[in-house]
Amino acid sequence: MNGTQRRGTRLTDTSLRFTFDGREYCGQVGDTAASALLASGVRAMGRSVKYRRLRGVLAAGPEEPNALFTVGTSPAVIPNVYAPQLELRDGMVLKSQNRWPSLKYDVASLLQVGSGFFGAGFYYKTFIWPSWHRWEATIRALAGLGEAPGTCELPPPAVEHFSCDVLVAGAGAAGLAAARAAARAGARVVLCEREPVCGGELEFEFATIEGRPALAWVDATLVELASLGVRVLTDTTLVGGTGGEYVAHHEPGGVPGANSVYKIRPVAFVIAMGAVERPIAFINNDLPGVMLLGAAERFLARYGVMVGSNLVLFANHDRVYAAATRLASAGMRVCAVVDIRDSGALGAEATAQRATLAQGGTECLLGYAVISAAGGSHVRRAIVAPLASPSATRVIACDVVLVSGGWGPSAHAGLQEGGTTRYEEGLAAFVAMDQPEGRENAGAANGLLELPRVLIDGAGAGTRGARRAGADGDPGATPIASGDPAPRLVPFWRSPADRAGEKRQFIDYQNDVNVADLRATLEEGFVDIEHVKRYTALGFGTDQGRIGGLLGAAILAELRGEPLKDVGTSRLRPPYHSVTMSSLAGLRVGARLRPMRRTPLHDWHLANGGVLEPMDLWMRTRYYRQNGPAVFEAGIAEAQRVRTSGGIVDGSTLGKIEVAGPNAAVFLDSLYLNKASTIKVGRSKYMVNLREDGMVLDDGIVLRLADDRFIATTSSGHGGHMLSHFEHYRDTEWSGRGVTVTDVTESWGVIVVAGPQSRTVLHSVLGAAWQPVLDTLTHMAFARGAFGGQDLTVLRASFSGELAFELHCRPSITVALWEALIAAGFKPYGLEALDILRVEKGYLVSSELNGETTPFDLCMDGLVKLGNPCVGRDLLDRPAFHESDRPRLVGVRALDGKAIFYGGAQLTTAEQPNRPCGYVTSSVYSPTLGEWVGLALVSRKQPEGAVLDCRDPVRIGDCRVRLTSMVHYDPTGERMKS
Amino acid sequence: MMAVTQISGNGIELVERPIGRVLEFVAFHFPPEGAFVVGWPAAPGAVRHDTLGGPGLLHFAPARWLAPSPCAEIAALVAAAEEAAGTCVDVTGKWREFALGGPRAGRVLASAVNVEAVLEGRECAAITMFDCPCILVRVTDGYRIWVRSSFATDFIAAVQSLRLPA
Amino acid sequence: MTRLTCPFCGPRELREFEFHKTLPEPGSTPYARVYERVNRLDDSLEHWQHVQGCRGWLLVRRNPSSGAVLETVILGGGAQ
Repeated sequence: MNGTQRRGTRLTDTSLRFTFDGREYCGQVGDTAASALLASGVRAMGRSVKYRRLRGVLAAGPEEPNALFTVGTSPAVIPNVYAPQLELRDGMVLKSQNRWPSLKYDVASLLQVGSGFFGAGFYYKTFIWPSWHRWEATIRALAGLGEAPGTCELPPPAVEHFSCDVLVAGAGAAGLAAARAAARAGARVVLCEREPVCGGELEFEFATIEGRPALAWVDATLVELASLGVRVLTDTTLVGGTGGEYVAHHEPGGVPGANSVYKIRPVAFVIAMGAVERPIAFINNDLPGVMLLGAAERFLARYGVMVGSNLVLFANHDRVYAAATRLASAGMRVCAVVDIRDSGALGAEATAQRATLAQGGTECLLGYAVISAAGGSHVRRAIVAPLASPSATRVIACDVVLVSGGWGPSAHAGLQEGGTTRYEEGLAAFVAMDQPEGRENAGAANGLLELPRVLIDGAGAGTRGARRAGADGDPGATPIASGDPAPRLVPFWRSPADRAGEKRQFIDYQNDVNVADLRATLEEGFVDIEHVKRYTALGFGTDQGRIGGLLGAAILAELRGEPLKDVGTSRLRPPYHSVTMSSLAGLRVGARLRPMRRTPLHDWHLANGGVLEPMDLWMRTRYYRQNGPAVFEAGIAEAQRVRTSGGIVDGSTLGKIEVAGPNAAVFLDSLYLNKASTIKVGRSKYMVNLREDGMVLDDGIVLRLADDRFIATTSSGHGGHMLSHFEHYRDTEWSGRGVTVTDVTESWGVIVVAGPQSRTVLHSVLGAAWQPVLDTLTHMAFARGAFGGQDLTVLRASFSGELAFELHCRPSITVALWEALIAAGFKPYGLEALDILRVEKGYLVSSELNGETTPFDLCMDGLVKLGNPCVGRDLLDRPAFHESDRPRLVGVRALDGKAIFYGGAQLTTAEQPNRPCGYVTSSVYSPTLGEWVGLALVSRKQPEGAVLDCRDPVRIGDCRVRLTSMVHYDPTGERMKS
Repeated sequence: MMAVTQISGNGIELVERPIGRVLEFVAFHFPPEGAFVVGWPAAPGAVRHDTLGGPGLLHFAPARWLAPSPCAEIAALVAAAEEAAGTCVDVTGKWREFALGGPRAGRVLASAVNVEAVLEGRECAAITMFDCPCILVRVTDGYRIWVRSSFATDFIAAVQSLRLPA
Repeated sequence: MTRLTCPFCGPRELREFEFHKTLPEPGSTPYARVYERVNRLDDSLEHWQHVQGCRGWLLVRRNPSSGAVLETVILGGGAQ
């Protein structure tokens, strides 16, 4: 739209094209979406959330409440990107938000007609009849901000943890002075700045520092910082932090993409994050064309954008005259400067500037206020009046109203962990106090606005930080400087208005909170600022109260008739401004969401048809694809094969803990219900652990390798837990010495060889040396030797009820051993088959060892009677454990021998059909028995043989079952003892 | 097993080193009681180097030392210690050993931990990186990292997937 | 409090540690040892484990109201 190139500190001469709401525009490389659109004469950039009022850009920073764009095309969109921060790239596609069907003609803006219904807290009082759900769909369509992405193609951020001596947040005058002083003193300094360029307000302020124009000083300082090894991070915002670790978020180009997250531990932290300008409320202060004064200055200096041709400035401090002078010299016509103060309030410099402006044709009004802005879709007129008689209004034709009510220190980084503030009269704002050792605010963040004082403050903070880190060098002299005059601010928060007008005096633009809302909220009894915030939504949204927070608190104070310092502001919380979710997720995305533990045979399973599923952090094979069309059929086929000839299963996830030392046996005795000390060397025993409250914790086999050395196995799912249990007991409760506990789970691959042919197959695989051992190995005994030059233990134990051997071998030969067994004719089976085999035999897994079962419930009375004093024994006698309707573990089968039942089904009697007396813990289809069998925990009052109803209304319906012995198959155990 | 280069490029070299027998020596009490053998790395995080100059005996946890592929000298030290003060456990297969080198080695680790803070005042540190339990040692040409075997594949994948801006 | 000083490893991020339990009162019955705890606002004795580091067990004396850690002692070596 403009043919000539603009000049600005950030712009290059290269053009680019982009699309906004379907229309193509031109810009220059370096432009942001806001600057390019303003330069093209676009005023309307969005609509507000509630009333759908047309809005333009207000601020030149991430405090911008209105101009939030969606970048990209559906479904790969990124919503809610701040337009003033969004750096354009050629071909970018942008859309405004909160409007349908278009920005210009929005159907929902008709809601303004009903605006009386939509005051603060309307959703607590409306849309109740006939039922909220009738309205829900409509409200959902209207609510919210932006379009949710349908796909996400954002890469995970780069994450970096590091330490430094001095962290300086903010590279304006104070921050640069602090970083320079600290670096000169010899400290390791990191400087982060949220904008793409350093300098802060030095970008446009009338300032000279050390004899140079401000921007030249900034450049020279940056060169010096680089030579001193300072790490300068631009486009990087300090978003939060606690306990000495601070998080900085780098988002280059102002749009999520190649983000970085820095986690920084400094010895000293200087908060130089400046101050945020606030508006003054007047009627229609949200019209496109009403902007913050500093924003117009920044758009001009950095992007060469003239925000309008006929400006009206409205402020309550001296700096408005400096700003007017700068804007006028760029070619914009300053029609009027409206100052609410009296002539006595102005300082000498401001008085002189005012006189010059008046000579140039600017109307300089004192004791006046802008009562309202008008113009339909954007500002066309400002209506002004003297404060002494607000009804004596006058119209000034203009296309922009630039407003400044003062500044509020950006004290977030110092207040997010709580802390106090003090009210600074000269600023009419709150400044953070009581910072812990090693953290301080500097510059505007510390309530100082005049450049000389800002530089002294910054240099002092930087020096103190360096000293704290032990850097003793000379920080150099504080720079001599002169800048814009002291503001001499008189607090002024809103122009006079009647009740009807108060409805259009906006405080929080993003949530459409106006003065009338505050008044209504007070009338409804919400007095405290925190309540007001939540009832009106003041301070919610992406600007987090940076524009409207203090303004709202001040107007609330006025309405309450109290001083502002007694009202305070609401608590500040991280993040300092919006952080994209992918940055918060960090590296834990997709496959990296949680770690995956693999057994030595993992790749073999994947390559040979294994279907793996997660169990805790491990991946275990459920079944092998070649054995059936799905898990049900494959499991049955695999289980059948084990019973008829045999198979192998990967048991490497079995937890194994090596306990050694002169007191190893005694130590283990005190951890298990039965005794380890009675196990002979070369043999193993099935052992049960109790929790300290008497519940059964886990079971496993304990092998005795030597008098003073054992290996305790635990169930796979409980491995880490049992290790901690052993460790904790040893290091806290156990009063003895001479025991060590070591996790050897990953030190041994475990292959279970099970089935009638297992011995024969092992003969051929392990060779002649092992034959005599295999032939004479009795049940629960083990032998140690070697295979392939590595340690091998062969334990004869069975979890399937067949003749079985557990091979414990080093991971380096596990695959070779497995493949040898395959070559010898055995095929692998998975967890599904394992489950079938163990349920047929009544063996327990976590479904039964669920932490809610006592040893009596699990038929371990015999073990309890041994009387071994152990963890948990103390509480075994309590009455609750011996109540007559405690559950007991039993077997369960269908009464008709055909019905299907699942684990979790509830068991009821005919007498009490609605009160279960137990439930099925595990169930499988047994190919050996030709029917479904299971285990259940049922009230002791139900004897073996009892017939119960098995209720499963959600999944499969009901059937009738009878209670049986737990061991469904081979009750004498002959097969495994053969 | 030969040294296997897992990742090479972008200033990072991650090589898996062959590892043979691995022992963990565990003392009965912490701090270790009685006089330990001369030359024993008794301080927390202390490392005794082996005859080739690499890390040979690492005090990575209270009363627990790792002896990866011990040379004769280290094996003798461990045997002597076992007599009096603790037990030796053969944990061959539990740890896998990696060498991380290249100019950006430190930056790789910084994605997971504040390396400077973790290794302050010590030569080895037990730390979880990218959700994998590790033992980290700084050596002259980079770092040596022992990773728990079942996590090793995940560790390599995590380092591979890192985005390290220039 | 985002860091805890493990007596073996030095200062480490809090997320590396797992709180286990507050110690029962001395002299409690077995039932009280398992189930009852006294809430102290200013002085709490606790067991923590450095699970993502050395796996050592720590006895921590802490002020739960302020989060300040008063004392940390390592109890025996943790298993690995």
